[in-house]
Amino acid sequence: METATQARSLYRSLLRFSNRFAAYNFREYARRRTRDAFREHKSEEDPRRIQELMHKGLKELQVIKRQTVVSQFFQMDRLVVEGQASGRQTGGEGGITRQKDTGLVLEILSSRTEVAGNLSDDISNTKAGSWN
Amino acid sequence: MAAPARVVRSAAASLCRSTSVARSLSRPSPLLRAMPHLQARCYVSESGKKSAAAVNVSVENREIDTQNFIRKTGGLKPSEVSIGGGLTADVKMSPAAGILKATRTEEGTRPIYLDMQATTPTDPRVLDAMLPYFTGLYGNPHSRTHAYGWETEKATEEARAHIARLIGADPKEIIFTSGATESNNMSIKGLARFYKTHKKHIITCQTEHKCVLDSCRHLQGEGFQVTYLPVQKNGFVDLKELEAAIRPDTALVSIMTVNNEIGVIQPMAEIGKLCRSRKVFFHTDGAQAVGKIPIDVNKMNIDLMSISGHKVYGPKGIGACYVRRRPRVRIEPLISGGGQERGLRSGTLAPPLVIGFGEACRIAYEELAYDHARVSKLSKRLTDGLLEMEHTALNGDPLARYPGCVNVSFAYVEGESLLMALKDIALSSGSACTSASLEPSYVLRALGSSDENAHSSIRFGIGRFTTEQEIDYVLKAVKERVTFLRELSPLWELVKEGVDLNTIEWSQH
Repeated sequence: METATQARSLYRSLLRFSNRFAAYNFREYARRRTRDAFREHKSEEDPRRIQELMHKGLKELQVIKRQTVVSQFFQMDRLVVEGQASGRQTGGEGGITRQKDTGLVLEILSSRTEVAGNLSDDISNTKAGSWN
Repeated sequence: MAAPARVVRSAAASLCRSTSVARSLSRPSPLLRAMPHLQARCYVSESGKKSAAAVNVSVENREIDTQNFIRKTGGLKPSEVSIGGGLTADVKMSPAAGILKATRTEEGTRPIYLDMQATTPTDPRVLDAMLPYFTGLYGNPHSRTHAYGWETEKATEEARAHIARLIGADPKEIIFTSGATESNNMSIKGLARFYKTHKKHIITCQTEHKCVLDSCRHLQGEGFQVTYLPVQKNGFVDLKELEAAIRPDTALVSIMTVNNEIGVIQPMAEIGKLCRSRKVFFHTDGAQAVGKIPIDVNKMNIDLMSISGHKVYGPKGIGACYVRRRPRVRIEPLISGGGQERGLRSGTLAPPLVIGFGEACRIAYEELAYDHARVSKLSKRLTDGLLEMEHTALNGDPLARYPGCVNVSFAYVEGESLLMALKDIALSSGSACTSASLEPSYVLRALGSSDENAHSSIRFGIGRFTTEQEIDYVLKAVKERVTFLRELSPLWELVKEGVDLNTIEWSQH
């Protein structure tokens, strides 16, 4: 019973951290791959095999944690399929303003120290929240 | 619709002609005299001048059109006259203007990436494996005297083992190079030069990648004879023709596993068996195949194989060459030096790239079935949607193909203008190496396609990170833009009226 709880907790954290990839394709892939992997092995009985898979999942979680941070440092514009307010950046009243800038911008640079500081915490609640 | 493109091309042709005339009139410069190969060999015409000319022509066309319009309508600007459907007469001025109008992507968004045959995005897991070797672990893997060297050497050997496992080889048979182009050059030139005293003949295929064809052409200059096998209409090499082409002095047969433009998978096992029975070495360019379809060099009797790192979600700038040890394949190295990589490719290895490549191959090995199922599913969705439209055709064999490469012809639409119209999708009409020139793809020409068909083809590449949402977006966009471009085309009007285009006698101007 305990492994089931552990597995569920691992699944949840994998999904939560997957959501933090700034790049659309990687984010979707990480979520899909996590879901499919857990679904594939949902009726696994052999305790040794379960242990192996859990170990693999924990390793993947470490990778995702590190790579989502890297991904947030180097943000690009969103893809056309993602659906967002977009358009020429005029700055006029009521006009559409760009949500994010390309590449490394001052805003990200200034938040870099802060982001690196609380790696395991929510990196930015607003961003993570909007993706869910 | 075809008019501006023709103008562009004739302008480019006249440019080419004028430069060649100028070159033949003027005395060869000292630089050219010093390097005669510069004169003799010309690959792709320069793109810089051509595109400048193209821009000028289309801008001039548009200005003339606009002036005529203002004169006829008595001072009304084209942008002030509505033609229905939310469009103004601007659109009708010149097709180029219409394309820009209809497809301007919103600022602040990036196009969808659907060109996985050119290169693939680096997997975050690969980057994660590479980063330590860019920061703390910077030892030279060939240093045997200290721990810095030992740790990188251990990691590079692990990477080598991952690559070998993916293709069913022994780790000692993997030679790291800078990419598949270098591997192809090394295999073809190296093997031919080593056996040149007895064997003077090489067989390859017309649909091969440029680097194979060019290596062979280079060897022709050194006195070798090369047979370029034709392909059947579906893209396959005819085994009977191959058997007939093998001579007693044939050194090498080089045929690629998966074609980069049409995705056709050649019958590797049969070709390998034939080559082994006739004691001819068999080289294959596996850049598009490794990590995407199951490959076993022993079952397929492959003697030499080229692999590329950035086609399997690894880093760019790294590749490998499989060189069989038993029975031994001898090649003359292109690069001499410190004797690294069994002396076949000297030079210090790049540990971060090698390790990234190894990690990419490890992931590809584990995920092969999952990725293939997913790519097949997306590919079916895309192919079905595209072929639903009228006057479209899939190029290459519909069954024996890698599903991640979908090459479709849209009749009565110019491929280049469709690519322009699809600015929100990153696509290509052929291999990236030749995308600078306006020539139709030589691969499609080799399949027996007409010039028009080859000009109207577009390649869609699906990969590990492509989503259903993206495919649906692409289908919608392609349908809209193809309809739009066809509406502009006078040919399309004729086709809709039921006129057979082959019966028309075009007047010459």
